[in-house]
Amino acid sequence: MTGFIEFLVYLFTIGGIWGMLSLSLNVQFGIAGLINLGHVAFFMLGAYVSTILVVLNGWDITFGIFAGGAAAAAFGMLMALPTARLQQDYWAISTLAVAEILRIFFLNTSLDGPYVGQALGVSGIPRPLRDWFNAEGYSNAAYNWFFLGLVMACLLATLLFCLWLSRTPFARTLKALREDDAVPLALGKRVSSFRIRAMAIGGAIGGLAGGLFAHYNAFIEPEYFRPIETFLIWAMVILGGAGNMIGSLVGTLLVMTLYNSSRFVPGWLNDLFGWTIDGRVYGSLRLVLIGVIIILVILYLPNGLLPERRRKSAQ
Amino acid sequence: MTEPLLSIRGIEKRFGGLVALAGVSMDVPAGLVYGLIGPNGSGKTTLFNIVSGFMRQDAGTVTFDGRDIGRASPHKVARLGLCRTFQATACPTRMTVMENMLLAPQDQLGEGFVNLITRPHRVRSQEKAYRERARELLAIVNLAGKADEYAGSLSGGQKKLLALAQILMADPKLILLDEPVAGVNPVLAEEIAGVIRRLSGEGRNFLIVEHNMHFIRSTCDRISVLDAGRVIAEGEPADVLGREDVLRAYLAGPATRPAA
Repeated sequence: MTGFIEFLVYLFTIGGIWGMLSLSLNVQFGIAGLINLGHVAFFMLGAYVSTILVVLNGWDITFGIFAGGAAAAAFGMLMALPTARLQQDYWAISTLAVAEILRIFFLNTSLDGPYVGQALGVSGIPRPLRDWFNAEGYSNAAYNWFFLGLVMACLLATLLFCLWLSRTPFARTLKALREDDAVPLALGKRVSSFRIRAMAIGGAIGGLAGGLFAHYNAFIEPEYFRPIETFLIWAMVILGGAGNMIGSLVGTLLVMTLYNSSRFVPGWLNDLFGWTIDGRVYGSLRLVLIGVIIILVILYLPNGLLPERRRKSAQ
Repeated sequence: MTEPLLSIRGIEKRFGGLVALAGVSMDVPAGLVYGLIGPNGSGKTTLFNIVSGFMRQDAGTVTFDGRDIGRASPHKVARLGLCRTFQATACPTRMTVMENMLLAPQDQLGEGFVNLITRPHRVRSQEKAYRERARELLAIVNLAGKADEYAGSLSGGQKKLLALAQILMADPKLILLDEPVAGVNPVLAEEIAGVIRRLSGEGRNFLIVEHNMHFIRSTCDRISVLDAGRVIAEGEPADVLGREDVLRAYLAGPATRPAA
């Protein structure tokens, strides 16, 4: 039973971090209509920048995480620049490529001597207040509860920010860009400036999530940041309902639960029927499951479980 | 005589081998509803696109309100006070009618983060003022009851009225309407004509592209006729629409006409 609770604490901590990722993608796609297929790049950049600054340069963890967010925001602005010249679909393809280029860059860059960075990743990333918890004699489990609380506080702050954001005149202009540039342009809106800012905001939140992840997991490697992670985030946003912030959290919960609990299925099948399934085949099947969910949602629930809410004008 | 509000000089535009505009010049004075007519393919929308900055001309100049806007980008043209509607592109459909209206004002404080954080009260009071103005304008175009409906759920004619009201929110000096009554039922077309006349009486300036001759006759003070990329006639609608060369341009194809 304690094992199960520990698993739940882990699941909600990771789920909280992913909730921040799906909220930030929802700002970019749900509100601004940007088809960003490279969202994992922000997560990766936040994780790596914070890790490099804290592990190699001795920064404070808090500053490291915020610097990671800032770096990801700047990267988001860079990614948005070609939107002025590329059509939506071509831009979407380029974002996928940009995230992979960044991953391959980290895969090939040694950070500090031959055993840090590259495919070996970076280990021994300090965890916030870990020493204090050790000194006071608290258990591992207590520390995990603390980190869960930290992540949930960050998630709540992100949710409140996104809910506030989606009610601003700024977000209203972003919503106008989802369908066509012509009308906003004819009304005098500098559409590129709005897209750049939407990418910066989503990037910043994604970067903060990456920093949290690095300092929770204490280890990062390029393998964590494959394109499949971006598609998991997309599954969360689409399932929950694009444009609905609460929906993103519901989508995150469902996708995380399905994706993580499906790892127990081979064990159950073995217990019940005596079947054994090749681990590698099963790993792929789990991804197929996510793909099938995305297809079913697009077919039968195109607006997601919680569709975007119509904003009534105050009477 | 005062300088015209919009002055177009020698505009040329080619698409590959096709000459869309072959040196168009026209003046749109302030205080009028000015019509631009011509058969399909005569270059009306191309001229509109060039004037509003959505397309670049190969030669010629556009002067608006004393400024050269010949090479300006669309949002800059709009910011100078020249706003347009589109023939086919509707207002954002997944936004309510009210959201569409509130989208239009330029220089909104709430579009910038510094203001949102440091001056939330100013942002809120500005929003409130815009909302009241939007309600007034929606009442003029008979869409007051639809404020909270999605723009996508409106009929074709109502969408045109919304586009007109939305443009008015931006408070432009000159309003370019691209086929405001195309595909609109006669009753609603009458209503749109009435709204335009009323706004013109209040001092709004219009330049309108339209095919509906009845609409042109009843709405416009002055018109220019475009045919095969040239202005072939200009004057008051009653005179111009009676001219033989104008009738011929509409009734006969370019091939059967004598060379210009």
